[in-house]
Amino acid sequence: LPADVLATPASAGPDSLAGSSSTKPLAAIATLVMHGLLALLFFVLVSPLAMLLRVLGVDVLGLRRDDRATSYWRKTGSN
Amino acid sequence: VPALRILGISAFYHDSAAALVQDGVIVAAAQEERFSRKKNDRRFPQAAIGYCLEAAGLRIDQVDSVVFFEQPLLKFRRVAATWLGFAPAGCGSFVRVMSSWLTVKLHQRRLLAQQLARFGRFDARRLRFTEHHLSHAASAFFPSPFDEAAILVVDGVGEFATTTIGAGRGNRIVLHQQINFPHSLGLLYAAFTAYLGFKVNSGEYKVMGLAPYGRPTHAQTILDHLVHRKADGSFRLDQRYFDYCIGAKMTTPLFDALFGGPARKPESELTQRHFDIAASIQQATEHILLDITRAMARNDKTGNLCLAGGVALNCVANRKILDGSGFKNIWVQPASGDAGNALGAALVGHHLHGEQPRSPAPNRDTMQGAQLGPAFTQAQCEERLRRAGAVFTVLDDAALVAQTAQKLADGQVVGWFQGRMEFGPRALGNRSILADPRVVDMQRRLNLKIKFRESFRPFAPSVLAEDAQAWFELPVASPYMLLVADLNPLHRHACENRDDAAPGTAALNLPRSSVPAVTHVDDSARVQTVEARTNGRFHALLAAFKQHTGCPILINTSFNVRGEPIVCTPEDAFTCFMATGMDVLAVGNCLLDKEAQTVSSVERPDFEAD
Repeated sequence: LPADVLATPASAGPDSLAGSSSTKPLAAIATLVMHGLLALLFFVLVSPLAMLLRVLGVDVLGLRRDDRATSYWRKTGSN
Repeated sequence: VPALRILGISAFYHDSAAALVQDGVIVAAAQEERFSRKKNDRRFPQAAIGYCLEAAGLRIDQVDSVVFFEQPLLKFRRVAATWLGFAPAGCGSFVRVMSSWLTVKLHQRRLLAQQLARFGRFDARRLRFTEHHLSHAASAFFPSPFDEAAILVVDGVGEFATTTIGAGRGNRIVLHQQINFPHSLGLLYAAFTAYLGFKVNSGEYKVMGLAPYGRPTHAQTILDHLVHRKADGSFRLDQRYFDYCIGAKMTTPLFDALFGGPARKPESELTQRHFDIAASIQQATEHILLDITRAMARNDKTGNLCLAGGVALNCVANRKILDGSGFKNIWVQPASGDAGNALGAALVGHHLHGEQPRSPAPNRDTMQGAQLGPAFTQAQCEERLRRAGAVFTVLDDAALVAQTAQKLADGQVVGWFQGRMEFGPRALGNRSILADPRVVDMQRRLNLKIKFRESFRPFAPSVLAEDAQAWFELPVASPYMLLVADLNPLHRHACENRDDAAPGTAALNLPRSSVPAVTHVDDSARVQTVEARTNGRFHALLAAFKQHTGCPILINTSFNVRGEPIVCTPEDAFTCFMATGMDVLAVGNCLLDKEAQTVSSVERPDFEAD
């Protein structure tokens, strides 16, 4: 899954956050709740904001081809 | 207080590593995979750090600072920006990626400090962070022989930057310009790697190796449709063709349509179409890199260029840059992938954070031939081999070299385990499998019986540095196998179809030269020049082989099998030796003949396809 590979941290260590067997059901519920909240966040906040920016003509990732620009280099430190 | 003992760490993305710099000298550097035996291991480099501390004779509380190779929070901003660019598409990956960020990476500082505290008392204030491309740039410039140089970093992606231009002078580095995610040469090449059925982040070499079998029939299509370029080399990728930002694949159906069919299934048959696509992406990549470096050379007064980032491991493109960019000298960090960032981070800590001076020696880098990993004394080698059940004879230096050279000249395949393990993806004569390059079917034999990998993959030659120019068209030294060179015409053989524009793999078994096993179908070779001052024993072996045969060249391939990391210890070497068709193994001054071994069967590990 490229998006995951490019954006997801691997676990910080061999046993970090893996959870012991006794906490596994709890951890599973917590994960489920978190996923639900994140999905909600995505549709309630991220998507409208993304669409608003698009309507306003803000090209967050510089996805558009720009025929007038002489260069696609950007100054370092200008993120 | 000047920081003098710096530990650099690269982890959690791909190929974790650690490096230790003491008083400006690179004391140790190693990838975690070599210890954990898990290829491209990206977990916290516990064992690699342990090794670095041991090699320097330091406890963790004696280290002045620990530098992590990138900025997690900056990376998080990039990840967040990605969804702002694509939402409402990408909900699934948003949930997956964000949940792992919330649970792990946003707590990076704390988690790192916890891990470091396992080594002893660790003051978390000594943990510092640098930026991904700054550590690449530091790994490219600080060890180089140049006092002043232009710097180019090209990889997949770090935080935001995928391509960065900078300049180094003395102990300073300034980064000037960058191209940001998702516009990335590394990811463009990776997209084609995936499309050709290979693994992203490790199969790129295979694409480069396939390219000479094909014709670059699609190169212009790539440059016209996928990439929008400016005269100064800067570029954007048309994201309609790519799915790596938010999707589950590298490419979209539109990409498939443009290149006339779906992606190749891994392990399925390779056809001329695949060769042509490999040749095309290789040529397009070279084209873009040449545009960038030519524009850089026009603004440069130093004549020197330093390269790092995963794309700098493309030794074919490096040669094009050497020949065509206008830079007089280029130096490429041998560990140009993310493992090298551990070294870069340590050097950032020393020269940039610690403001320590730097005094480069002309014509001599500070990488010590990349021999920065664990070494084993003769006593340790013997003890470890004995415990593994190996049968061996112990020889003095002269006899070891003479007997090994004789066996190589007899067509035997030799495992060569000597001195310190190399840092970076290449074996350079310390963890190598060696063979006679004059034998016509040696490439096939090595690929199928020893490395268990695809028969199309070419092998690299190691040549005595003093004989390099007589055999190869190589104007400079290439100690790290980071440049290709054509075989000198004197050593090429005339054979039918050799000038066919689309040779395909049929040309593979033609005796194209007097060293066919290391000559690719386009007469090129990925050369390592071996100097006596950097690797005396390997140099002596090459010289002895030359004495027997008149040929100063050996096939040099990494000491591992497909899917496995390069061997680290004598035990790893013995296991790999017993599991493969290797005939002879030299570990330090111990010489092992396969036929003399009594260990009945060392089970061949289950080699996964890479």
